[in-house]
Parts: sequence; structure tokens; C-alpha cells
Amino acid sequence: MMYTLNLLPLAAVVSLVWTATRYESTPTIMRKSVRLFVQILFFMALILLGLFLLSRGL
Amino acid sequence: MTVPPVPVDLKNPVIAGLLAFLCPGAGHLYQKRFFKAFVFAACVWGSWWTGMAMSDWKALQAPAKGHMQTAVVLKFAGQGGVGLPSVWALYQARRYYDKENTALDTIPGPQEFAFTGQVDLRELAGNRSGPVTGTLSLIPSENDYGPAIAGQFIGTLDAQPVTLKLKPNVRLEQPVQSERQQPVACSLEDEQGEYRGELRGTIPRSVFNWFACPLSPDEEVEWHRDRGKYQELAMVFVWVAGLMNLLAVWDAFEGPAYGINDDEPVPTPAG
Repeated sequence: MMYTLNLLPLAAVVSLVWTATRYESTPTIMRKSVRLFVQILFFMALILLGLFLLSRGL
Repeated sequence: MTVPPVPVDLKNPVIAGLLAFLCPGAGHLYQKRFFKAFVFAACVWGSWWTGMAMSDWKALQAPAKGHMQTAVVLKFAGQGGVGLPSVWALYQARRYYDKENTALDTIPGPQEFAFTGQVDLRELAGNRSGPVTGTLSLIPSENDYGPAIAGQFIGTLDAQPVTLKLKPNVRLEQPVQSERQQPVACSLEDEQGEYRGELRGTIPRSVFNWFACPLSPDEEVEWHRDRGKYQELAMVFVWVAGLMNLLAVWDAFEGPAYGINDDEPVPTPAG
């Protein structure tokens, strides 16, 4: 579990850097990077759920 | 495709891009884009240092001429975006594979090192052996085969002070290697030059001689065994840092891709 938690800072820095290279305004960067961070976590959770369902009963 | 001019003062974009490549954050600092300088420095260096620390400072390895294994080249392609350490790693790989990076038979002048190791003493009163710690003083010397290294060890054996004279056959392992300790081995002699035993141990290796050094296949296996899955995670952190900095370099060179904020239209191909 601790291993998986490394996803959080990784997703945070990727969101922040990606958005910072798209826009110049600080409020826009912050708002968009929070949104991207949530999106990354959502899709990762979706993939995790899919893998969990596929591996059920194995 | 036409891209609307970005109202950001990029100063000299080439200098900014180069600075951003060499030291994440520096290019944007040069352009006085302080928030971005902070974001890129914190995120890129943060990921890079986290990965390096997690990997026991061994994640950064560069290929060298004649040693361009695909896996090493691909790994380095991901890491290479963080410029200064990567340039150092390329230089270090050259030093590591240099034909002169072998066990040393001689040294340029007297040198002293902190030493820890093991001694086996053959003495009339009985054999003694055990761990020793102390100072190894080495001097250039000669033996029957040419230039050599001799010296003495002053330290403790079983908490007792001990002074040992080294025969001129001290062997210092190759200076440039990823291990932080440099192995040393030599024979010991008494005042009459008679054989007295063996001394083996390690001295600290300078950070310039171990940091970002390629690993031998055995060291690579040992590294994986030691770090386990954190070795892979560490590589991911360092790769992410390198790839993120490529984006930052591009931003320093050409400005933000979409403009100042999301009110501005995304550039589209001209009709």
C-alpha cells in the first residue's frame, strides 16, 4: 500500500508541470493542474477497479 | 500552422532553454518567470532527488562509446532531460570504461585514508585476527616488479592500539566505480621485512569517483536484490523528472503552449 501511495506525488508533479507548460497565468495553472490531478487519480482508480474485477476469483 | 505571438518576455530563448536543460528552474529564473521557476525546480528536482535517494544513488547511468547496450541507452534517454547530472553521467561513463581505470599499482604522493577492514596476523606469540579501524597512510614505493605502494596502518584491533607496516604490494581497486567504498588489500611485514600477515578492507571513495557511475552486471544484480521493487519505482521517478524537464525546456524556449490562460483560444491550423 505504501508503495502505491507514491502515485500521489508523482501524479501531482506531472499535473503541475504539464499545466505549467500549457499556460502562463498562475491561477489558471493551479486550477487546471488540480483538475488534471483529479482526472489522473480517477482514471487510475478506474483501471485498478477493472484489474480487480478481472482478477476476482483467481 | 500559425501560432499567435505569446505575450511573454522570453529574453534570449536559446540561453533560457539551455539553462532550463542544465538546471531545472534556472531558465525560467533567467526569464523572471518566478512562479514557473519554482514549480519546475521543485517538481523536477523533487522527483529526481526522490528517485536517486530511493535507488541508493545508482539510478543515473549513462552509456559510453563501445558500451551502447539498448537497455542502458533507453534508460538514459528518459533520464537525460535533467541536464547537469546527465552530462556528468556521460563523463563518468567515459571515465569508468577508460582502460586506465584499473587497480592501482602506484600513487602520485603520500595519502591518508580512514580504513575499516580485517587483519590476519601471524606472530610468534600466536596468530591473531579481527576487525580493524584506523588510518591507512600510503606512500609511493617500489618492489621487484617496479612502482608499488607501501605505507602503514595505525588503528585499533580488538580495542587495542596497533601499528602495522605494509609491504610494498598494496593493491587499491579501480578508482572509478559505483560502490562508495574502495577495496584495499596488502601483506604486512615486521621491522626486519619478514612476512607478518594480511590486511584487507576498504577506504572511502570520493563522490566524484562513484556518483553516476555505470554498474557492472554483478553490481546491477546486487542492486536489484538490495532495493527490490523500489529500484523500479526509483527509475520511474528519475525518468519522470527527465521527461518533465523536456517540457520545461520547451516552455523556456517557446513560451506556454496554449497562451496566458484558458480564456485565449487554442492555436489552430490556419485555414
